[in-house]
Amino acid sequence: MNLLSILALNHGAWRHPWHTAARWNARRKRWEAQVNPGLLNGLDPTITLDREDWPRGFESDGESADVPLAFRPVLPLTGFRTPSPVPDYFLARGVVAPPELDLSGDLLAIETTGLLDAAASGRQLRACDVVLLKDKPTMTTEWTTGAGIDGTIAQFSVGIAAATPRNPRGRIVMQTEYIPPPLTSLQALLTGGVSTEGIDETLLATVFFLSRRGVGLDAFPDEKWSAHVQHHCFWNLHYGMRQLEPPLKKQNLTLNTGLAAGVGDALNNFILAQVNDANSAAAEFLGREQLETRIWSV
Amino acid sequence: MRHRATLTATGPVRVHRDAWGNAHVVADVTPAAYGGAFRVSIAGALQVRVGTGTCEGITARLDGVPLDGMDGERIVRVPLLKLKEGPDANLRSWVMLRFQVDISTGLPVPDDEDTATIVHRNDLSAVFANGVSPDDRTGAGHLPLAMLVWRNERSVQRVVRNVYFHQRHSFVPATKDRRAFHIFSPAA
Repeated sequence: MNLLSILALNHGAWRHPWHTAARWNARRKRWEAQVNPGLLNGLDPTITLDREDWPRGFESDGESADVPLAFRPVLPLTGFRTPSPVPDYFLARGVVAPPELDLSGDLLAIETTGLLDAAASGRQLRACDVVLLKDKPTMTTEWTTGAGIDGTIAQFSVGIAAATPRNPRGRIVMQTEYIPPPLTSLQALLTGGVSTEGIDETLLATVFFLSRRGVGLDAFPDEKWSAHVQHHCFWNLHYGMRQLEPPLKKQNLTLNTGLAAGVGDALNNFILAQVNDANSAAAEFLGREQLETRIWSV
Repeated sequence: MRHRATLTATGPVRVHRDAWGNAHVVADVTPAAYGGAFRVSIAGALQVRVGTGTCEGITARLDGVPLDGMDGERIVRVPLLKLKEGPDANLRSWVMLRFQVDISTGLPVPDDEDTATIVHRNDLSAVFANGVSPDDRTGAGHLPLAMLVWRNERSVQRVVRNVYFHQRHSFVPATKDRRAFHIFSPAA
């Protein structure tokens, strides 16, 4: 055997789906994030960008377009919050949490100033969130009542309105602070006149920005700050929606309450039982017809 | 002057010999990147290589050859997946796992070599939507393993993997209102 050559290969580090890296753009003077392509139901989500931010190789009409993640677009980070409470990781690095000021009037002005000076002399922390959005239909519930032959007719309707525009892909956006969409309670849905949110949201990453000392409480992240990314999602995702009847179809539940005129005391318990039965029927109907979505990792 | 050398080959070290008896030693300086199951990688302009992976413990096959290269006790060469269909209008296509079951039972047919196969499709919505795979009325469901991004209609530019783990499969029979569908999930 004649040994002719030795070749050493250096593999690149593996980046999981949705891996986010933040960098400073000196030309645009702003922070930007690049998200490693991940898939939602087998398709890469998009980032909406103006033409001047389009990556090389991407072509489209108009001045703004949805750029798929596979083209490696950058997400401008333009809005920040001051995290509270400050994570322990950053407390250990010299971040002083802004004091919680008592405005009851008992504090002397000099004491308040001292607290603020301590916070301003330390390192500052800012943050923003990278969020995956998925459009979904909205659901509305409503009650309508009318007079029937033997009593009152109450009709409970569940309506589904298709998402407009229909977008099979997800969208990635920057939010100053990710706040989970409020869950609409069963009670609120049964009360009627309620419409659910038309978007499902998933937090992908939180980008923290750490300053050097003494930049002041009002400082805005610039090139001298350092970025730290906390990931919340590591694998590709599947998104499913409960299969319902054809969209835009209204489902109705009609209840005969039997509340005829001339109700006496002796019928009160009977009426209450009817109301309870009606409520149970409505809840069961809602359970069958309401829109439910799930997102899970692949 | 001929040199004699003894090489102890380990995982990241490989020896290649050519027809003239020359040996090239290739060593990985750092460990290989995370691979996982069903690793899809480009192996030419219109070909990809698919790493080993299982569904319900059944090793998937490509052109009849198991992805792990083991046919019984025989070591066989795993072929490459040819991308004959090309991309869709958005220059996308998908390497998919096709899993076949008996519709009457929802279970794979024993000893059927076509239970788990690797295929190439350029129409995602027809076989995978809403997080599940509608049954194609023959008992087959599909799971996208990777999305291929094409540079043009003649060459693949990059691979975006979808699956990193071996898979489990569930079959939901049809009702009078909807078709049957297949659910895939990562195996523990």
